[in-house]
Amino acid sequence: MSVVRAEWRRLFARRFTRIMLAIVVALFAAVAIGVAVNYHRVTAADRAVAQQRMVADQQQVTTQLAECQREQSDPTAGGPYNPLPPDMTCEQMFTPPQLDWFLPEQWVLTEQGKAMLTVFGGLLALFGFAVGASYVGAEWSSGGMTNLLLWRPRRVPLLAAKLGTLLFGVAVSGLGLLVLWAGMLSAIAATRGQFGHLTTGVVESMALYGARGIALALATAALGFAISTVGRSTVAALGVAIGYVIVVEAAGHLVLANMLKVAKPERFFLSSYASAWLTKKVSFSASGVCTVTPDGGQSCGFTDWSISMSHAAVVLGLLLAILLAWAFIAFRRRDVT
Amino acid sequence: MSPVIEIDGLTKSYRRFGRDSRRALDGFDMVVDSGQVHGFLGPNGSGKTTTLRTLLGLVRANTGTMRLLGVPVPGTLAGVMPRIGAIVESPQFFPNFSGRRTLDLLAIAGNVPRVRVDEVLETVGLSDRAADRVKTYSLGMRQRLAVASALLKSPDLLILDEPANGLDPGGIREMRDLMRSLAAHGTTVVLSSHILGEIQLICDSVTIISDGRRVAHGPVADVLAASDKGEYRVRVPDLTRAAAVLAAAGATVRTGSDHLVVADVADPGWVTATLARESLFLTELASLTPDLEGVFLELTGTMPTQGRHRQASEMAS
Repeated sequence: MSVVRAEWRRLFARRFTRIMLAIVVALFAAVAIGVAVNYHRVTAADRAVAQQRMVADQQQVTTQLAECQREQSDPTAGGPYNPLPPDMTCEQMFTPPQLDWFLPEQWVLTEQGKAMLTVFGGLLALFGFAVGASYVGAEWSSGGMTNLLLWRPRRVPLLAAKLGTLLFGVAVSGLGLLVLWAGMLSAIAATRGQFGHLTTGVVESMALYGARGIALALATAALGFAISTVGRSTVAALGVAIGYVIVVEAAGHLVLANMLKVAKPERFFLSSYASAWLTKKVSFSASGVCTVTPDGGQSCGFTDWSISMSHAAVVLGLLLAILLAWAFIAFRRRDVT
Repeated sequence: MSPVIEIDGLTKSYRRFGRDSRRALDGFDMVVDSGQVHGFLGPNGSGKTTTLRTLLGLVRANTGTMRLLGVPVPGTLAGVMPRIGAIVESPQFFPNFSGRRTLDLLAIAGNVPRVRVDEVLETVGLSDRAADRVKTYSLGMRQRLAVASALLKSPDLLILDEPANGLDPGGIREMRDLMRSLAAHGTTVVLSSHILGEIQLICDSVTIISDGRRVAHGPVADVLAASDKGEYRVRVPDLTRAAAVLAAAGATVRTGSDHLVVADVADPGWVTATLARESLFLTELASLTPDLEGVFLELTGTMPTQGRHRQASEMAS
């Protein structure tokens, strides 16, 4: 327990942790300001302008509807609306405009909150990875690990205490940041947008989005921790992460898609699994072989794939378990030179 | 006196990717009795730090047995570690933490009363700079901080690897006094150092390691006596005639640039009398008592060789 207390203090005394927290808060603020600048509540002036545009559009639609009906009554007549697409009528084609169409787009919490919480989860995951990697990586590069082992020579309990402290720290930070983010979104809804129909179910659903974001940050923190432990430096973890993105997700995508003709190669990438975890499901669709139909047209088959939240949890969890096991075994057996 | 460190037949090889493994320790033995200040000497790469790291559980030995404070290690290391303070090689700390915070965190992790932090800062003379960041410390101040961290536990055994590294002469003297004071209060101190004069001044016993093996050990006086060849340095105005006279009288004589080295004589008075009979009068007669540096250089094969560069392959021979 004393190790956990010391590690807890060290985690938040570190300048890197504080800077990363500040960066995340700054990014949150930037996103919130961006939303606040681009949206505003509908004013009387907005309504007046929209009304004018609607009336103008109404006149145009009425003219076009009359033209369309005239062309339909005389099948021999040509014109832009003859023939109409199958199963389509002039009335369907030229519906009367609504005032809403001409009002500025509204930011509605119930509609856009989940996307904003997905952004939160992504940022928090990056924060978790960086802090997790640096937390143990800096110990190796500074010689702090040697000092600590001279006080606490039982290696596995020591590493477990450090990991536990890190995860608890990231969870607490994540919770605090989630509250901050929710507060920012509420402030935007209250001042520059609308809350929408905020039922208990919607609130619960959004809370689960936030919780999954925190869970992903815990996973990435443990991932960074494990890679740094194996590689004995923060740079090793950051190098592996950047290398993965460049080699696998960028270059690998090009090779798979263009040279090996693999459809939707991103369905194999970890970022897709992370995205599926955050958004509950990610779907991919690719057109298959097209055949000529008897009437001379073309019929193309589509292949669909999806990654569910549970599927993502299994894949990411398995990867994490393997890396953590590797880190603990390496740490237990390694010569500290 | 019961031994606090017992090492028997320790071997350690480091695997090297794509190359043969390097043997750092080759059946090394070491015994340190309690209450002593013990010097642990060896050239760079001789296995000193590997020995200390192995003893402290940082490195795994291939073979051999070790006991610390009477208990076998590394099996029961966790049980005795609260009684051992150690610094290994150049200790480093988080540069952005203050000296006090560095020690505070170690004290918390080790369940040491926080009052000890102030005590050890005072002991090593860092109280005034305790609130400053470590990155503003000089090498000597970092060394003091490292020693302070090792003292936090009020250890029964203190293992210090190059504690005088970076210290100025005043700091070295303070460190020497500290070691003596600790030993006087019952703490066993093991010092690894290259400052052989310091070791000779403050150590009761020494172990000398070379190429992973022990080449000398025991009380400092015994180690020095074992290398004492009973030689005298003689200076006279006429070196050539004096050398002939002494050799004719039965002594073994080597001629230096401005002196003679005379051996195989019963006592220094015989040299005086023999030369005086031939009207050769001494300007200097001194016993060539070996010092630790001379013994170290000779035993470890690191004595500079005049006129050519010493090769690495010559060190082991």
